Amino acid sequence: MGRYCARRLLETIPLMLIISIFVFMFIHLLPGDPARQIAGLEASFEEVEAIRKEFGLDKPLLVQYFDYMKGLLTGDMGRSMKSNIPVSELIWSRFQFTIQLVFCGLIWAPFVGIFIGVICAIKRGTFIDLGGMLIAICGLSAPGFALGLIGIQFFSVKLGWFPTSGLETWKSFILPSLVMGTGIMASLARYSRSSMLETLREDYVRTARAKGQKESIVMFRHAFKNSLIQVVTILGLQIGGLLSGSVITETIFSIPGMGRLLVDSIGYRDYPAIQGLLMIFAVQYVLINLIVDMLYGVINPKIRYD
Amino acid sequence: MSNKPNEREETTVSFEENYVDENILADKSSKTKEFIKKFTKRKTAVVAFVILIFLLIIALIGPSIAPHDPSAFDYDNILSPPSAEHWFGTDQFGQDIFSRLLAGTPLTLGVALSSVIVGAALGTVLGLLAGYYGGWIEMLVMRGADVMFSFPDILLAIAIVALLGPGIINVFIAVAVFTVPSFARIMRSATLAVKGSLYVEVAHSLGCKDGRILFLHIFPGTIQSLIVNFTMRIGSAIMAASGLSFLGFGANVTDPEWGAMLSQSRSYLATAPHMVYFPALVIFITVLAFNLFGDGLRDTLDPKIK
Amino acid sequence: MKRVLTFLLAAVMLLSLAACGGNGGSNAPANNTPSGNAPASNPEPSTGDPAPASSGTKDFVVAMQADTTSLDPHIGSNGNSNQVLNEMYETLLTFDADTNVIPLLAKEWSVSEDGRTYSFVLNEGITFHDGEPFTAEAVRATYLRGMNDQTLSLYRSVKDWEDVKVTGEYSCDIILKEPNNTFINKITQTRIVSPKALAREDVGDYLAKNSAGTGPYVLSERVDGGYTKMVRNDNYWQEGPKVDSLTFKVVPEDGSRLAMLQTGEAHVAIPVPLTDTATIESDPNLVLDVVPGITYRYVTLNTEWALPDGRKPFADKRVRQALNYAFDSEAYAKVVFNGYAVEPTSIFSTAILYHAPQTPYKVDLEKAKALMKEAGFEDGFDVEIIVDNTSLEQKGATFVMQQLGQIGVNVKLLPNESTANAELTSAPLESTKVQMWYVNWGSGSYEADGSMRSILHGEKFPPDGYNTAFWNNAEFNQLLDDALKMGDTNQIAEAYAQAQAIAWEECPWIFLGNDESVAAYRSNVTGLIYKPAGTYVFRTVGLE
Repeated sequence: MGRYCARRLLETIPLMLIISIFVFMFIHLLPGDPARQIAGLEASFEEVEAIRKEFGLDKPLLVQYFDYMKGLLTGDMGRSMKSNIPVSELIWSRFQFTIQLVFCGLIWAPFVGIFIGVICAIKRGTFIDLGGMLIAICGLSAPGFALGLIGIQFFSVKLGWFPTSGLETWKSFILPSLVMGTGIMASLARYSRSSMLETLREDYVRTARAKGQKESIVMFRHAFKNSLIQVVTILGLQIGGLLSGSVITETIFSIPGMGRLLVDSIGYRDYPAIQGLLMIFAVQYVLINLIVDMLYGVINPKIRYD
Repeated sequence: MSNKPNEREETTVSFEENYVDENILADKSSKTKEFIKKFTKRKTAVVAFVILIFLLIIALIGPSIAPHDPSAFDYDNILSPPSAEHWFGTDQFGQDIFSRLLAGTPLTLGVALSSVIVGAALGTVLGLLAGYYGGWIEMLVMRGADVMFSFPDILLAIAIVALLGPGIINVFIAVAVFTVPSFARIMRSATLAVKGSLYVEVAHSLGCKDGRILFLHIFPGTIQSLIVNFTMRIGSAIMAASGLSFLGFGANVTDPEWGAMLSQSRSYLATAPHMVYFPALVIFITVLAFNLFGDGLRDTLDPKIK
Repeated sequence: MKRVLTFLLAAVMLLSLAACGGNGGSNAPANNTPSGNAPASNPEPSTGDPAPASSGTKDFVVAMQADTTSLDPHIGSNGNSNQVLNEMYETLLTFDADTNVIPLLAKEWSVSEDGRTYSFVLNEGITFHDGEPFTAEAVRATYLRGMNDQTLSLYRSVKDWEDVKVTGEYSCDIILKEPNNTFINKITQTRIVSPKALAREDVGDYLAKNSAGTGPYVLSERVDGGYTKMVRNDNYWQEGPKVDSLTFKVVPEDGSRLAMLQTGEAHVAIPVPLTDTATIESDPNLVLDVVPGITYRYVTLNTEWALPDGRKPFADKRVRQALNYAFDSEAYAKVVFNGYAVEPTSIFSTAILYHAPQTPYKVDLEKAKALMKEAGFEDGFDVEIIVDNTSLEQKGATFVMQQLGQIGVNVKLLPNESTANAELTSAPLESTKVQMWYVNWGSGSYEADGSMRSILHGEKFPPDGYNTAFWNNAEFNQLLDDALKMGDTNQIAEAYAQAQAIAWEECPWIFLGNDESVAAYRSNVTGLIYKPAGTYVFRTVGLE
């Protein structure tokens, strides 16, 4: 297991290299010039050129890339062109908000989702099943920003229960948590139901039943545990997505998370910030995938790492 | 004597051919009947199917049955609430929302369906190959998916706008591209689950070719995951289109694409809520129908469920 | 397997720790002042601001649409940055609510006969946030920073200065290379920074995290993209704030900004969504503030753009006029700005100095069609319009599309990010792809030259300016150049009036309108100073 992890982590090095080249080429190919953004509208051509020079944007792309990688290897992600703050500092300050937001989605949604899914699978074809799936599908069918804005109008403005923005008091977490979690809850409910149904039909479940084991044991020891393999995949994908920030939730609730940092940085063509963010996202994905793959082994010992 | 065996052989062959043919024919018609019988037992799925057929008809004839010209401006009649003249009210330009929704049906469904079909097809093939062969193919596909996953869709959307100019094509490409890795991952894990099962091992030991095993034995085993994910993806494609509009990279504002309509309407939530509610409702019902239909289809296709 | 589970458990715990830590730590938004940030504890937020009652500290919260780009007072050049920086830094002179130039750090000033030397007498007894006293040396130090660094926006303010001479501890002369009567307006944008801070080697880093001005508020903490919090400057030299702190919060979504104002989480919202003004007016706790704005909206018509058949439609004045006759600016104000815009009466806003009203192009489709026919374009043509991808801009461009469609001009919208558009529109004539550009302009120093030169002067073709009409009128150019050197205000007014008349008649643009600045604040707010161009001054604010 240790060797497997080590190998996987080593594998990330070429991945990061590919991503860094990919991202670097990509953002430099985008139309738009950070120097012009910094200079402002009234700047003359010469002033814009002076800024390009200051940031090394006049050098050949390859040289710029190697300069960047040199910095990266020494732990220096550069400075944001927009705010002149070190990128690492910038990302860290945003990461704290994102992680809070992810946490408030994860604190309830997966549990509720899996619970609904499992119950629906067990009570298949009944009204409980229908009701559970309707809840799940409604959750998937509601556009996030409409949900958030309507929530603010209703709960904050009309009822005055929760604040409209920020992540300060426990109350301020409730609305973002609802908006963040609904999608996770809904898709997990659906996936865990379908995957539970699949495992319920597997031979080992039948065997267990045939052996006369208690239904609850059959359900949870055999069926539920094995159905988790797909559920974990989906959850991993979603957490990965959440960690790179949820632009819409962050925008609606005025939370300075990574999603908005990315959108703002792209809007400004803040190259060092975009590069830094994408490298961080890549690391996050790699780590989460690693955890997911290891969980496969926990759930189904038949899967071997070699 | 010499003739006899020949004769016998011929008869045997023709007998076998007949036998097989009849069997298949009988099997097919009874299977179709059984399918319909099973499917019609699921009331929600039938309702969803009817809605989808209805949507399809709307998509074909919608633009021609619109009571008003969907792009006709009427500045004396802006933001008017639903009335006998304008069933769903009018928008900020005095355009008839009902007519716009009708006219936008082919566009919205077309983009969502085509992008998911393209993305899912690619992702499925990659996921099957990765799960089945393992080794370097798996590594390549999965690390490729990692790169895609850690690459934010908004960056891609901006790049596409840069290359192809703004418009609905962005939504198509962005959604298609981002459908691929998620299908690849899900199909891979579904393949992994099926791969270890008895019938695949039997097929292996019988010396079946890889292609045959993949598409005749493994693929059908994963089809339920595929269908559930596919129908959910169509829903989220419609949602993604509105999300892209929220960020300014969706369909052209002049196009009556539902997501774009919803996104533009959000600033009128307090003053003209009908502008939000009707597009949101139509999106909601459509996504709901796709999901319910997918559920019904999966249950029906499943041979083990009676 | 156990180890994996332990590892996962640890990861989850770390996650939650990070969440809790972030919440209680110093980086959390203003947890140390629970007052203004916890209005949720009040079950009826609409009854007023609960903050002062519950504790002694008063935090004044401003909800803004976008963040300031940088805290360096010499980099920021957009409206949001100015709004934030002007509370920490001050200038020698400033504007009052009626756009008159009035003293601030300087108590009086005079100009020499040749119009090149401006002499300032400074106020005494003022100290910078870092303890350094304010003297004439600070003016010189600020000037030197600008001259030595072309990458700063300060460079643009001082590049036309020849020198700054310190004539006494509290007096100095600013000598210009050439007489320029807009200097007095422009100096209102030059923020004076402590010489001690400017002498630091890491001045850029220092100013990104500390304030070193003389303003009524001192920077306390900032989360980029989140908020900028300042505390009252207790050593402030004139009447200061009645609140303990001032927080600029970034609230990008229109609906959320209004909601914050309604619940009392914010005291001022800039700007408020134009679609919701009725909601604000009907709320007894809210005050709607509408003043003339400086934002002037127009569509540039590239006079050099050629159709596939080689004809250049916008080279013909009749076509350009036809477009203006086809455009209903009254409906534009109503549909796009919910009525909060005025019809254009010249080529810049009425809030700008030397605005001279012209005869409006009243909508007249027959006349427009006749002009098109005269010019040989009775069948119309297809044209593309560049526009930013925000909903307001796209809404406006959609309106333009519909209006021009009435005379056979088929407009296609090309919405894109402003950054990408900036690249498109700064391409020189040889490679430009601009056909039409839906855009706006406003001079933050309220001067006529700044409202015309960069966008209409013949020397300001991209990439040196934004004259994307590629309109070059020698007479107009000359008037602008001459006016700069004039000393007599009547003469200046006459020159600018002539320039406006020429541009209005020649119409290199479709003149769309001039939107009003609409902001809102809670009714318990006192001492708010509002300037045109939609900027507030929070120097003397209080909360009742």
